[in-house]
Amino acid sequence: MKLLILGAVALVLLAMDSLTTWLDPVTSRISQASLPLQWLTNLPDRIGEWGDEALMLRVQLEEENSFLRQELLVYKGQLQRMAAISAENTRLRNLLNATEMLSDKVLVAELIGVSTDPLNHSIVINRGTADGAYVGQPVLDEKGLMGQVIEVREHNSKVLLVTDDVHALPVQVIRNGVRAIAEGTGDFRRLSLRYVSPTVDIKEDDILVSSGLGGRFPSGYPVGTVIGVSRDPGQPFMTVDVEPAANIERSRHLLLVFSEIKDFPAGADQSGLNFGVASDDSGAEPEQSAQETLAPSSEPETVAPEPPAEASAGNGG
Amino acid sequence: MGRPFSSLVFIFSLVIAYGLYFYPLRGEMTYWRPMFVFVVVIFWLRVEPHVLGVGFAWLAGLALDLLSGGTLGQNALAMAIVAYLLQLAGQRMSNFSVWHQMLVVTGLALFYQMVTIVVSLIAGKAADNWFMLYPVLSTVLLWPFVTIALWKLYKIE
Repeated sequence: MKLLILGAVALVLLAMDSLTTWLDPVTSRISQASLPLQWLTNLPDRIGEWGDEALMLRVQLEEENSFLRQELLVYKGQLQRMAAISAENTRLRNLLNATEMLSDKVLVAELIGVSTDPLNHSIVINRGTADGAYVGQPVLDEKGLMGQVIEVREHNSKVLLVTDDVHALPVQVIRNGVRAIAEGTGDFRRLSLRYVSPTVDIKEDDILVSSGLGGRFPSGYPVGTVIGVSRDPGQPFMTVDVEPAANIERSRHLLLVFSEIKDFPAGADQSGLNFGVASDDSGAEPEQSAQETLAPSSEPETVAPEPPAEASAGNGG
Repeated sequence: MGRPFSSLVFIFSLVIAYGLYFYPLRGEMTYWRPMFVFVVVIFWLRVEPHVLGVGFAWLAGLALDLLSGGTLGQNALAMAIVAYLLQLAGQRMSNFSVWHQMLVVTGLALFYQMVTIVVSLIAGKAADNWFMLYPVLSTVLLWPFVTIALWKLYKIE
């Protein structure tokens, strides 16, 4: 008897939670209660990390430092080329009268909680509305796209990972620009492409980047690599397996991307000669807007310098 | 039961169970996480059948749902059904050997996961992966250790 009543209550709750949004405010508030618990269970990892940092030998630190310096030098070199290319890209876009350009700022966020349900791929990060995070914001790690923010609270937010099976995002093959939709599978190391007709030119080791078509993810971030393509004549579509580029289940430090669609200055696209100025503008403007967005969290972690900004300034001279 | 209900070990074990449930595991390990709360709830249902019943199991499941942010009612339903099945089995289980107990726990864990899978499928989640069955295995392997440890603590108090 008791089972019947409680079972019925559970079923009603289930139906309400999965079919309606009535319970959302309640559940999101109560799941906040799990944060101290998650913080506590994260402690061993944190202590380990702290220990790794605090108990390092001077020699090791120096070694690491010099390694990082070298790496930085390599990246800076690459960045210089990137900057020239991005300036050129801006000019070409101007010529094409393409009015919109995405400019991205990032904010470093830290993982503070992981969903314990293997069917529910979501994480909690330590940035919220106070840091300017918003619903739908893309999240990256150092290798590629991780997911998007689906719930923001004041000091933390919930991120849905790309591998969750309710998640899908528009992607593009770098090699030939073929577009597709990458869908999560519930498996941390696999995405799958939907609705790829058997005649489409896609093969193993193709690199996929976000295409920016959905308007949610900025274009050009690595999503994954094709690891398997199978054509079954009996099926209307191919099965394409993709390994996500990001370390979906391992990364602790993530980047929140503030991508803003901004209009080019009205005069820029007509005056074909004014390239230097136009790209200077486009470089300088996002930095101000990003400072606005990032203002509340004036921490050293707010890595923001936009590569084209310095470079186009250098180019102009 | 003649002795007063030992609340200290009870609370302690539940806190540990929920804590372990939230302990962040990396990668493939996530699939193998034993159902800690399930094990502890089963233990207490078996030890204190006159105090704890379907209602307690339901509440424990609901707490799990709320804390994990999953579909509300999923674990509550599964827990309540498992508790009911355990009540049907009655007091016999206390007389079983550890191996026999593990067999029963396997059945209950399978049933629990089945309820979870059905609910997930209805909620539109892809639950057709084999890894849904991994926790059953790890839970069963965990059972003798937990039950012996908790029983010792329970006797001390």
